[in-house]
Amino acid sequence: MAAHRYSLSFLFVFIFSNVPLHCSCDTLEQADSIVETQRAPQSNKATANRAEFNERQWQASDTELDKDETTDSQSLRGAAAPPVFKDQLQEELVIRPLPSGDIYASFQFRTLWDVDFLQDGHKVSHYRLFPKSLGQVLSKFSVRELHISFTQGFWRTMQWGQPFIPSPPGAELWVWFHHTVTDVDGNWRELTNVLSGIFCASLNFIDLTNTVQPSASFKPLGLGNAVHIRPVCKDDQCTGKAWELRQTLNVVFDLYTSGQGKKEWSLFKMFSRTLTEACPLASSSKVYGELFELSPSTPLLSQAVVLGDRRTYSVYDLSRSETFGQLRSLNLLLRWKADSADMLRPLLHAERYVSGFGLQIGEIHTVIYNNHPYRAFPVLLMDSVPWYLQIYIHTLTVTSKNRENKPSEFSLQFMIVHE
Amino acid sequence: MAAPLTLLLIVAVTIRAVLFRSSLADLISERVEVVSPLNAWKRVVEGLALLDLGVSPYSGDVFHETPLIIYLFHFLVDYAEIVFVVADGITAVALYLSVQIYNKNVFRKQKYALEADRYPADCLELLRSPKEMFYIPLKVAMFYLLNPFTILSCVAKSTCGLNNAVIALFILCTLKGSAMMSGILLALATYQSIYPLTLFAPALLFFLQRLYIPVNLRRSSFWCFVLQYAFVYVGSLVVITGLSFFLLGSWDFIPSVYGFIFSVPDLTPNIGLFWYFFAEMFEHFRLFFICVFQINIFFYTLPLAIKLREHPVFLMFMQIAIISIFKSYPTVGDVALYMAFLPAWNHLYRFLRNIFLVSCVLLACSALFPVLWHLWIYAGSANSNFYYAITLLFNFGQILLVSDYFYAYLRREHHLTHGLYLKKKDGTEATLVLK
Repeated sequence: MAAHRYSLSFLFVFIFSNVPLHCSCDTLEQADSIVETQRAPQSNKATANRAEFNERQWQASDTELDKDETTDSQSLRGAAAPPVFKDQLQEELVIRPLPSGDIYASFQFRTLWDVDFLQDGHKVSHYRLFPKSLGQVLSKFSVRELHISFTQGFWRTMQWGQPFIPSPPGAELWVWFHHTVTDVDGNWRELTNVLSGIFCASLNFIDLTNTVQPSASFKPLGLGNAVHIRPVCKDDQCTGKAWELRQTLNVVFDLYTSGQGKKEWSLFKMFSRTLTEACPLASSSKVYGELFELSPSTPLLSQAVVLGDRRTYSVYDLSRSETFGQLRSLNLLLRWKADSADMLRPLLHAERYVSGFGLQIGEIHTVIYNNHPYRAFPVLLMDSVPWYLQIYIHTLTVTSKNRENKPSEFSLQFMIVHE
Repeated sequence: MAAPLTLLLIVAVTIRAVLFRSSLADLISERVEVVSPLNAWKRVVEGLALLDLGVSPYSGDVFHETPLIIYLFHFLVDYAEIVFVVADGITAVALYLSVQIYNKNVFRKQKYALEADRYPADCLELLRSPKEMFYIPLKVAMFYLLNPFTILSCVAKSTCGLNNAVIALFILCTLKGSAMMSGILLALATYQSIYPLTLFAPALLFFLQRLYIPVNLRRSSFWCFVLQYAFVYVGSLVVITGLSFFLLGSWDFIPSVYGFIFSVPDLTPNIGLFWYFFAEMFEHFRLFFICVFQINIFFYTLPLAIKLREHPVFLMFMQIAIISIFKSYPTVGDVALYMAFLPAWNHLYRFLRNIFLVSCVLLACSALFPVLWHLWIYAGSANSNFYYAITLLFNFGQILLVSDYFYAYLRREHHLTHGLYLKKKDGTEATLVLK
């Protein structure tokens, strides 16, 4: 191991699964995260064919999946009637430098499965890529959409920008139940206990005292607009429902270079191993490195607009053997460019602090910043306060630009505490 | 006597007004000795805010006052300070008039007993003269209005001031002889906090004495009156509770107010005895000790009523003192109410045995309460044990005060029947012991 010490300053695992409802395909184009494609400016002739083939692959994201499907099925058609699987796995890793000198690595594993758990009389028993434990949980509790995230550490929004998927420290669980569920509280309690067993996390301590049922915020992301979720249809024409399981692992590495001039990282230094092959079960497996000095270089580039910020990534497709080179291993070397750190300040950013002294009285201040140059945004703040913190509603004051402001909508919900 | 009383009222209002306008008002309304979860003004404002939001004011376990209070302040929240000053004024005037009537009664009875020659020869010095009794009502009003406890309670806008006003009016109506008003006001006082229920016995005894109905369980006249009075009392209680239900629209207030008073879920430190006990207690025994502590308040009524059946006003004083000491969330406002009566028992001074100790204890504890609170909560160098020690000492002082006055009263009565210089059978001097 080299003389670099690095520590995990942020670790975030995010798993979600949703069933997208019958949707029209023009909602698929989300302004915030569309993967656009662009051919690399320099591509030599040897790779021209490949580039064309890649171009077909790199079109708009909504067709990405079925293109993969068609290419898969096309390539498979030559063989003698292979089994057509209804599920597929796509994995990708995004490596991005943060302005403060840290490295942000985001793994994402997406499993798409064309099945309907909630269909009556049609019990699912054969699981391939989709984990059986989760599938059984989803069908038993009639879950329509589930998000669970475990976070250790604190995402420094002001220094690092927005994460791909924002999450608070600790564990967070969002669930939308199917409308056939009558006893939501009972279902919720059982579900938290089952999930705490599956994930070996004390989710069973999430009980009615720290659960909220938001009435205004948090609409199911399968239907609404959000950054990190895209509704997925089974195919181009959206003829049916499919389940999408997205498992994400986000890590921020804090590398101490201890006085050495150049900052450079490699996959080996971060993860103490190199990539030797793609997952055999995955239909697509890619590594995206943000465009600064990367070696080995790759002709493939892609641009993405994430949170209004257009960035260019170099793409390494692990399903091709030439990515791995002679040594049959891919060790990405990334060099830090001193001036390339122009972070787009996050548009909306919130902070909270406690004021007052002594054990008897205090105040909680939540400050929300809007960094947009000219636009004003309506903000919906949902706050969940534990029962032992006695907050006085009449002391709520909202100040903006040193002037008193009143919220346009205020709703209050008390959870019953059983002693 | 109207002029000195008016002057006293003006002085009292001035002091309160000055304190209201000063920065001390906020400080005082935070003090746990002065406000409790039951009667804090901040909680009333919170309840009003919740009511304005359309949520029941009793949700969230913040507000524990009765619905009539919240609806009263719904209209009067802008004049809150005036309301509390006026309440203090009403209490003082009611106490003034009550003690005046009581003194007249006492003097009249004394005159009849003198004429009937019922007093032994050597206890004539124990008799009270109109001259010494002349200034007692004013002193009572002064003891109430200028008591630092009362001023603090008023400046903190604790609803204890309103409770005291209701109880003072009840005492006035009882002493005036109006059973109807007395029943209604007692029902109102019971509705506010349950403990004035025990004042039913002294009021009943007073009316029976006044109407010359002997306390004989076999007599129908006794039961007749008892049932009448009980009917007025229970009826008004039902009416007031029903009115609250119709105003609020639900029965939420019953577990929030009365359930809260009885089951003591909130263990915020105060000058009472409950909080530390129940903070240290195991869940298993909680119900048992709740019952023990609550029965303690109601338990003294019957024995005291039997002993003091000839002296219902003193019984009322004792009962109010017991309520103030042993209730679940006492504040200094409750202490101030029974302390206002002390000038009425001025003549007992020569028989009090522990008055110096008691006054030192009470003064020292009153000074130490804020000190140890600061050390515990802000400096972090003390803990709850220190504060509870002062609480215990304060309550010990109060109990000693009440029992001392009880002893002195009984001793004087004994002397009035058996003579001042008591001798044992062999001729040596006897001492009177309270058993």
